[in-house]
Amino acid sequence: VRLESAREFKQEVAVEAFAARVEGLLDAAAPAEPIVSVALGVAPGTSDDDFRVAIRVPPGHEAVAEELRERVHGEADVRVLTVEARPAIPEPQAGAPPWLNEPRRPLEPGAAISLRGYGWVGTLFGFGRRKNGALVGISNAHVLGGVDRVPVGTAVLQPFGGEAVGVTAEHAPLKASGNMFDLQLFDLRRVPIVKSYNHAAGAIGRLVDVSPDDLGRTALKIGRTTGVRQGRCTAFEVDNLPVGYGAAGTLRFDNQVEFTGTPDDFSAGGDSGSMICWIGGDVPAILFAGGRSSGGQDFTYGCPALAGLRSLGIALE
Amino acid sequence: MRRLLALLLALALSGCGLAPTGPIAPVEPPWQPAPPEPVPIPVPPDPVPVPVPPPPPPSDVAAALDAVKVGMTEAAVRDLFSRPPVIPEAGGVRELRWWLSHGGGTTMLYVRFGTDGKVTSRGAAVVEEVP
Repeated sequence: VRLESAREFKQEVAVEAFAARVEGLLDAAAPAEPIVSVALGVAPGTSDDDFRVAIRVPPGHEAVAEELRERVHGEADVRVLTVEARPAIPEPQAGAPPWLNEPRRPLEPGAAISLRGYGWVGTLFGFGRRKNGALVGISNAHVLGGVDRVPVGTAVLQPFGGEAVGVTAEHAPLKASGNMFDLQLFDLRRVPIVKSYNHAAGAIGRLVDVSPDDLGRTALKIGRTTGVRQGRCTAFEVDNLPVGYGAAGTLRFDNQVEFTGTPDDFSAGGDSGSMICWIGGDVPAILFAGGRSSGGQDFTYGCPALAGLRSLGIALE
Repeated sequence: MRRLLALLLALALSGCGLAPTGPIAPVEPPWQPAPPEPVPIPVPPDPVPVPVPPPPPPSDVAAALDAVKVGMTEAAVRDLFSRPPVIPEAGGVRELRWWLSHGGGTTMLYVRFGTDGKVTSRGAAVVEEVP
């Protein structure tokens, strides 16, 4: 279908889902409408100007996915999967690259970071600069804040249990729905950093929006669990994406970008916060979640890096 | 009736019209024109960049970069330096690094190789000390 048609269908279903939610508010005894659980995006079609409606549903909601597929006459890319925040996991595990899980000075993107007093580890996205010139480190809110569990000012360690390299700072607020970013900063303290570089791409380019032309495009990421992995962009403008955050519940995200690894999985637990870049170094997304489809394929989700860092007033370094 | 009421209320709250529900044809769907594009979420303007000029590449960094040519073998690159390189082991391409200290600070020189073992790119990244 044309891009406009795919977007129009997304809008149409969003209105129906909103109506179902309102109905649920009006009558708490009413059964939950399965349509509210559907995430919709735009996936590549058979040519540069042909697209599919990306339909993502959790297990048990295959029927509503099939119904939506029929409504677009089969012009859909359907995946059944449960998406969870790439869990910030406790210790370096077997197979994790030592390079990213040992003390790295100067600090570089992809290194393992953790918090003093908390038992999990995630990945350093990279560095940014505040308007006042101060340098900050960047990762996910669920890595640096544990979804509002960790007070601002907590020491950030590199690697897990290592020396402090900064203290946690502000983050994009997380709420039940309508989220766009899982993103948090930390103020760097007394540490050397290497700028405008990551080992996946070499020189880092600019923060960029994702466009229809990027569907199918080769992407790279570097994270503390799986190191450098290659993949491709499989969907964008994914709305109403339910992401599990453990005890914090399920939060919904809009305008997300989807990737899958080629040939290996693109990411795993502990890679949360990884920088995702295109070949050439431009940076479209911050890795934060993933899941395995019923077909066994790993899908990784990133939130838009350009809009996210702009919202926090940060320029990429 | 309750569903109709909910749908009408949702439409009123969302401020958007009900999209047409015609079938989607593979090539030219006979749809009405798409509703207006969603209003983009306003984002603050780009942060004003604070000028923090990196130290100018000292002559030895520039000379080292100039000496490494695309297509060279790893052995030939190593011969250019008096010290062994640092080799990051994190997957991805093979890369050799040298740290060059100079009056302006430290610069990381990196050389990247293709699967054929020949140089594909090289560059220099500035190291900044955060106080």
